[in-house]
Amino acid sequence: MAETLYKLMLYGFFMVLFAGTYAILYAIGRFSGLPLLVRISYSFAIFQFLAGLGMVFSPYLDILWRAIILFSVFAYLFIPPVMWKVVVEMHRRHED
Amino acid sequence: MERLYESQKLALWYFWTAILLFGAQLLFGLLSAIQFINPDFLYGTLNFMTNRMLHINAMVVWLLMGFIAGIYWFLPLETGREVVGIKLGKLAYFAFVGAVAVVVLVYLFKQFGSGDFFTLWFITEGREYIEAPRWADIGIVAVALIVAFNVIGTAVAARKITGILGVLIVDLAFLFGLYLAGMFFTPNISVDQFWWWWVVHLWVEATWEVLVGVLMGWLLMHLLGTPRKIIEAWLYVEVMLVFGTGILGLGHHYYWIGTPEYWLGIGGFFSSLEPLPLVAMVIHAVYDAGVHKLKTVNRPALFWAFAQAFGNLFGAGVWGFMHTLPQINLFSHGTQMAAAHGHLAFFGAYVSANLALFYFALGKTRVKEGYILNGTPWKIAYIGMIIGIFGMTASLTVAGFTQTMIERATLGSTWEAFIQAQMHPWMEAAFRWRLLFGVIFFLSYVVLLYDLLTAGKRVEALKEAEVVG
Amino acid sequence: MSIGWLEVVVATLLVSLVISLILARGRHWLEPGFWKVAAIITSSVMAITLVLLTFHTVQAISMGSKRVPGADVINREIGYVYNADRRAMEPVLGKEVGLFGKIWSPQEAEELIVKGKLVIQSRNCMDCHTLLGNGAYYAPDLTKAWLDPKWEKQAMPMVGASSREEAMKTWLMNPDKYPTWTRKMPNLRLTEEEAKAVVTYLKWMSAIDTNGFPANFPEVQVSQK
Repeated sequence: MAETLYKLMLYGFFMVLFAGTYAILYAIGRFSGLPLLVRISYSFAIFQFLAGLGMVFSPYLDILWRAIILFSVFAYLFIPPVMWKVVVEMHRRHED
Repeated sequence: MERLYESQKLALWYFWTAILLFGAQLLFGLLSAIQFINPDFLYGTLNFMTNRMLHINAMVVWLLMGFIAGIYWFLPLETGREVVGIKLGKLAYFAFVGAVAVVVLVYLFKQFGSGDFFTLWFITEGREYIEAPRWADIGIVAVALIVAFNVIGTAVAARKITGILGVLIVDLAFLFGLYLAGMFFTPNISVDQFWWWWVVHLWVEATWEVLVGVLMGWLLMHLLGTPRKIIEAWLYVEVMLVFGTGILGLGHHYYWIGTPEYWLGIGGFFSSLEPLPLVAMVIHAVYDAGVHKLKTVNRPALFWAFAQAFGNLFGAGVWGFMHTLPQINLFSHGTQMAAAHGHLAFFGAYVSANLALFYFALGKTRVKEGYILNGTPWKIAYIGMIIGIFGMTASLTVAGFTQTMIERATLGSTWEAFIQAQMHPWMEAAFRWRLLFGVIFFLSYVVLLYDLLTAGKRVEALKEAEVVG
Repeated sequence: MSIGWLEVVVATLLVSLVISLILARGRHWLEPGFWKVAAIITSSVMAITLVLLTFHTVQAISMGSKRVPGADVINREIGYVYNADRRAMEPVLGKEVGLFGKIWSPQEAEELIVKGKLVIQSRNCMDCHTLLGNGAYYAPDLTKAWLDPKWEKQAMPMVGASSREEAMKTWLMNPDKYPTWTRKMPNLRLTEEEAKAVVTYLKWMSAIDTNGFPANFPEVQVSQK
């Protein structure tokens, strides 16, 4: 039990940590026009995906919760770019 | 330097009082941290329970005072006129400070009472975070009503209702209305905790977040010149995400207090979404930082505003998500894991916000047009506090993991299991590290205090090309 | 009435989305007005859902309900066992055994519980302990303290009491005299009446159905009725 739980907590921790890092690096990369940084940020997107998969494959969770987590790690791949677009468009529209 | 509204002078009183209470919070936090290592320290004189109560109560009060200060600072700027009930506002300030002083003295010297309603009314209510006795509760509500009256009255008198003011008024109504949910006695602890979380959760994870969104919106508008339409649109996005996830996210406190099983699913689902608004804030912060290349006339205010966005994401988002699923929380609930999360989340979301606002106000009062508020001390305090809080959080996370694994998952959550886990070398080491980083944090606070007192002496001439906005 | 969590989640999200889109139609999605509608609708839907669920929950946790026992449960034997169907531990009730050597009438029991709660609040128990997992983390969780094996293993011989409740009472009145570890509970000057009320409260609280918290607790069986 302790083993399962410990892994599950760690995966959850890394999932959001990498998700946050992805968002931050992506935004900085896009702003500064550094394609390399954007590419690095994608690797964090993959890391958060993998950490999420770690939770999905934990034997302890129900099938429904696994499905929800699987969906959210997929969805999260697109969230930072979408949010970035919203911010940029909003500024473009109201600053001109 | 601009001519100050009376309301802004009142804001400065609130800020200074808040900063002093911040010091009190840290002091009692240090005493508690020492007691984790040496339980005989002050045993029988100033027990852990008293230090801990003062630690968290000082925090709640100083953060609230900082928010009130922020409101009084920006309200006349937003409405373009003096706040209507300024005399009443000042009276409320003195009543508030007086009440806090009396409550603290009673906490320190009386500490507890006998098991009757007299104790609940005049000594302590004994409910974590809102221990303040009932008479003080009523006082807090009265102060809150005066603040709300001033906000609404000033908006009406100025015949001006902006989107930001609209959000502020609705949020204040919720914020202070919720406090009433904590002002009754019931023998049924499940009902007690059900309503208690209405106050604690719906404050910290909903109405406070939105209030800080309002204050930070004003700050960015005045500091960076971000257009109002963007601030308002973004504020609405924040409100939608924070209330959309946070209100039913309340369910993550209803897993184990006797409440029905559907809360496990509702709470787990919505609280997993709670990091979303925090990601949104960080992305916007990066954009703003990029546009302005971190150049403003008030460096510390800007840097604390960024610390707010990032700290909120890490403290509330990462450390919150880690133990929010009910399957995990069954074991981690009520362990040091919650303490780890609480320390980083409060610092990131609220302490940073208040410091940003305070520095902004100081810049306006102490720095002449054409100069930049800067210098070395604020940087030392900034870095020291961030190192301190992350160190404390990391230590408490190790303690939380150890406690969850040993006490809960292995030994079976008994009294003896608790003792065995606490005596585990990892846990004991974690408590020592926590004290060390606590001391670092406290020393940084001393530097911060010095910088706040002397801010305005360290200014740089503004080079026109350097500052955008 | 049983409420499915997934239905609540899907319904609130869907209703928020649909109403927001209908009311915000014609507004550009980058205008504040669009998001204002979304913010108001989403917050309202969530708040109304919370209020509705609150009506149900408060009913479901009233004293004497299936989840939160009535005061007279203090007369019964209380156990805590694993239920494989729920995949969680849950409290079970056994025969009538009384408390402090007597059977309490429902009214007496309720008075004791009110007193117990007042004592617990007046002594700031939650600023060291957790109750139902909420509070401070300096001292053990008290959710199932009544069922803790330590009372019989260590406290009864230590204070020289013949029953668990007597041991708890004496211990609570003199915690500084009977340390179990370096972190000693301070003497909070409980009167005998107050200590009895706290013991009663802890016994009552151990019978609350907490969805299996704390997990892994050593099982306590009850004798058949």
